[in-house]
Amino acid sequence: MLVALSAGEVEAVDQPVAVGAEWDVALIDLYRAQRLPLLRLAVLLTDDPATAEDVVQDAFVALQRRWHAVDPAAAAGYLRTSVVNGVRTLFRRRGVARRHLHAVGPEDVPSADLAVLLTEEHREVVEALRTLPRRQREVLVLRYWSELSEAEIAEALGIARGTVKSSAARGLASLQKQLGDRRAR
Amino acid sequence: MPDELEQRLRDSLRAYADLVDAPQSDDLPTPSAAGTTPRPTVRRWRTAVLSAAAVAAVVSWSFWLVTSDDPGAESTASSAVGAAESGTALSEQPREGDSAAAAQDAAGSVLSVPASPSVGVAYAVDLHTHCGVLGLEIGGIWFAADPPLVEEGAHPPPGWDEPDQHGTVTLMSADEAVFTDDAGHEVRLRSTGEPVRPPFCE
Repeated sequence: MLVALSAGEVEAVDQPVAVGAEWDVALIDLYRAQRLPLLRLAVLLTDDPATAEDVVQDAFVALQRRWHAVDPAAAAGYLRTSVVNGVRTLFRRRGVARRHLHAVGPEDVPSADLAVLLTEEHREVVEALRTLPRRQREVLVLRYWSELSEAEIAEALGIARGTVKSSAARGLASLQKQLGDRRAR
Repeated sequence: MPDELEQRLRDSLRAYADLVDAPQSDDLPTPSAAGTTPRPTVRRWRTAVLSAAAVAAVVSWSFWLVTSDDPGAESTASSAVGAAESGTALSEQPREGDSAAAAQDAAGSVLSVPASPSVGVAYAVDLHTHCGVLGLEIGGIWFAADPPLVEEGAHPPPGWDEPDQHGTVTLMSADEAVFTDDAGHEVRLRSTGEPVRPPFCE
């Protein structure tokens, strides 16, 4: 809740940051090192390279805006969380737009499906992954592609470790069933 | 079998990720330059914000002249307009009075935006999330979250602190702001043009 203001406690306020501030060398190095892995992570979560690019760029812009307050050693984790949250926010916003506007905007048109370039064995897995609830997919991607621990995934997604464990188990069980069914057909 | 599935998942995710090539452009993303990078399917709201700030400000200012009986609110709107019209969006530092005003409450726990915020300046703030992420009062005006983030039971989504989420809010123009925090959340806020906030959930 916002309350009436009182003067004299200026120390409690963050230092102001100009949105258009220059990038320092460490941030540029981070951008060059992390851009591609983050882009790949975002594609694994969205299936859409253009959307992924947008989410990743927004994550870096947000980091630049907060650079004064972020521990450089934790910046990669900040970016990863920012990308996951960015994807969620994007999907949520599109869901709201669909419900209220009843129209498909240009941002809802997916890019060409990269997965068609995969071998059939890999494509089956990716297609099965796409059917999972969003959280299960996030957990599996962070666990089996980003190779994060349960604790790291919990921190990145803002959920309990128990939820990470149960989401992973359910996701794997669902994948197992779907891939088994495909094989049986 | 689970190990086999895990290995297959790893291999497939790696193969899928490897299809994503390194971007050809090495340009650093900025709010104003983002539109120059190849992002064809997403609206570029930021690129137009600052150039449209003066227009939006005039509209807001006119609205308040016509509708507001509250001289304090009108003054607030005018001050935000002044910041946008004077072209100070990217580099302006907060005025001394603003900094003094942006402070904690008597309990020392809740930060809010100063009465006369400047465009392009990040202010520390505690965003009230008890009923979900609904919006924030900025300069006496209610800025609504776009979209509001409300989970079932009128709570914020997982990952948000409750009842407040500490972060910063930056006024991008007279009618648009962005809240960000260390957890990586980013919420766009749009002015409702009124000092009215939604009723509390309890």
